[in-house]
Amino acid sequence: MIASDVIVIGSGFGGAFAAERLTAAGARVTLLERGPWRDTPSVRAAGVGPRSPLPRGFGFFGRALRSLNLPLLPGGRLRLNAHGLFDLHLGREISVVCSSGVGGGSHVYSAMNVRPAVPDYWRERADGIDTAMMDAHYDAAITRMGARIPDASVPNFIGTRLQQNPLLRPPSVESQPAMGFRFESSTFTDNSFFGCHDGSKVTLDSLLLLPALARGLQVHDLHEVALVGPVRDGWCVTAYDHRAKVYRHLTASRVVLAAGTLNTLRLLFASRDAGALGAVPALGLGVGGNGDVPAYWRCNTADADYSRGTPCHGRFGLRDIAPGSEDDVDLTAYGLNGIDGVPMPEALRRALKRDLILVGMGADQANGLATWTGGRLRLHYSRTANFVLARIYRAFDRIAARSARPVYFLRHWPLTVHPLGGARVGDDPQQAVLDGYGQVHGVSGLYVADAAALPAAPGAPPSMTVAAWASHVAAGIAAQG
Amino acid sequence: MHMDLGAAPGVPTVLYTQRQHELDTLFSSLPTPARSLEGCWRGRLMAIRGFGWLPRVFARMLYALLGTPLNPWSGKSFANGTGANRWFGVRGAAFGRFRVVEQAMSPVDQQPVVWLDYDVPENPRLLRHIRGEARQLGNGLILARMNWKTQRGLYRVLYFTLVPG
Repeated sequence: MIASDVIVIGSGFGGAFAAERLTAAGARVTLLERGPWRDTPSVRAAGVGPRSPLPRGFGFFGRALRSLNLPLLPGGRLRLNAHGLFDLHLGREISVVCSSGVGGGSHVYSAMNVRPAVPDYWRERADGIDTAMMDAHYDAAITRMGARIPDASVPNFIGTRLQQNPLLRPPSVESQPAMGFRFESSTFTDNSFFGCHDGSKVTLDSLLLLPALARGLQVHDLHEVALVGPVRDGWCVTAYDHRAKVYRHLTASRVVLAAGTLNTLRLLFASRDAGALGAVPALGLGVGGNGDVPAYWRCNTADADYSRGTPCHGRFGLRDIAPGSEDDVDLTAYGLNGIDGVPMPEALRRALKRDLILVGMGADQANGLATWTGGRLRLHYSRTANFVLARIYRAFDRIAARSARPVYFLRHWPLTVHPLGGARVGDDPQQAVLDGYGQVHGVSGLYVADAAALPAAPGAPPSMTVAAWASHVAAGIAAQG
Repeated sequence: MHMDLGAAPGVPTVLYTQRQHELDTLFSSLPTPARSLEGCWRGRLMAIRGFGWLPRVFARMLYALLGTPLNPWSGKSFANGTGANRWFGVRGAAFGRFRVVEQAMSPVDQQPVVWLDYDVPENPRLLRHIRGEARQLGNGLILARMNWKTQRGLYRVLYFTLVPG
């Protein structure tokens, strides 16, 4: 039994920001992460171990996938490798890809550190939050990430690379997303979806957690939490230690759930089912996918090597769509950065380097529902009731038609890397799970600090929104002493 | 007084895959039930002594099997400070009676516990060695432990959960 003031579950943008802030405030914090420490240059230099390599080379396929979640599987889940990088949740109405490892999604995200596309996102959401307060948290988080807008010197930066494309309209440099990226030292290779091998991408393990270790933060990697419940002196967290292959029970006066939306919802549902939380009538409401639509554009640009550059090449629009009009959706382009580490025939690799991944994103209605049946989480999400998806589909159709090059995407099967909601913030316990300080309504000492808490889709990459929310939750806990 | 139960909670499946020593830690941290135990409670067995060598996946299967009608033990009933084990249905035959001590201190971990004492005249001599302990895992979900008393002390035999039957 390990006793702490606060147990933080998860080490992504919610968990890492919350744990770092609470540690800085003097709390004894234990952080549990289901994945391993990743073998990145800074973690290696700090001597933290054991570490697990990012997927690359001959071990790529074995290390890429952690688990496969399918309704048809016995138990709903097939765990392939506890050290794997990605979890794949395939559902009938929406599918989700998420990652694991100390540092969470920061290893695999596109490094875009931006505010919500929705103006006044936090306005009148709940008592205890206001726009000015959250703006300060955004400022602090973006500054902490060292985020800045790329310039024309960056390989394949969309502001210059696609300037001459008659189809595309890159916004001005100023409106490109800021990125948490070490531009000066980067090789501009191997820094995207499969993790960053050269330390170019600013990841949370090196930025927040390693320094916090020196101030007393306890990090237990490969600890997968299965249950959270009240005990005599606070809360008990039951976690499976994948390394020692034993269950551990850790206690603390407070628990912060930041395990990623799906895992946070699983823990809340499991704990509610065990009678640990009360009714929590709003649990599962307001699920969304942040309007994500990933696509593959077989643009086959001669002489291009789009695999070089920052994790995201930047934002663009379509020239024949008026800026600010309904069909002016947020589109970003990516090369297959990291493809040099994936084993494949050389001819195929050369071909893939000439193509682009496109991602459309926008504020969907976040009107889905998460349910829990027989220990399985199911997401219900209507493609047609989330209008932004159709606008993005139209944009991709236009690109395909005008360029005479195919754009492949899943038109009938939403796929997101940004699941959110289900334990959203609000004052009414019938409609919201959390109060304005991130605490579960009517349940003292249990908090949610990840995207499950978001009251609506930000319509832009949500990493800084989650970081700002986690900072707000942590500040509230720290203020209570 | 009865507990305010609402819908009967589900038993977290993660309990079935845990070894006895792992559940010991959880059990020690739990509070005693907020209200007196009354009425019929459906039981599920787990972490049986001697089966700790089983791979977790097989242990889970075994305890799932023991949760079916193939296992004649169905749970316990409580009334006015006494109780009985129920066989062939949660309201079936009563055999194996016990006295309930609500404000007891566990001799195993020296923490408050509801004590189930089988040393009562109605029981055959063999059953009088049993000492049960119960604590609350959730609202309407009891985690309990069966011990065997010898002259040398208490030995943990198994864990079980109780939910309203």
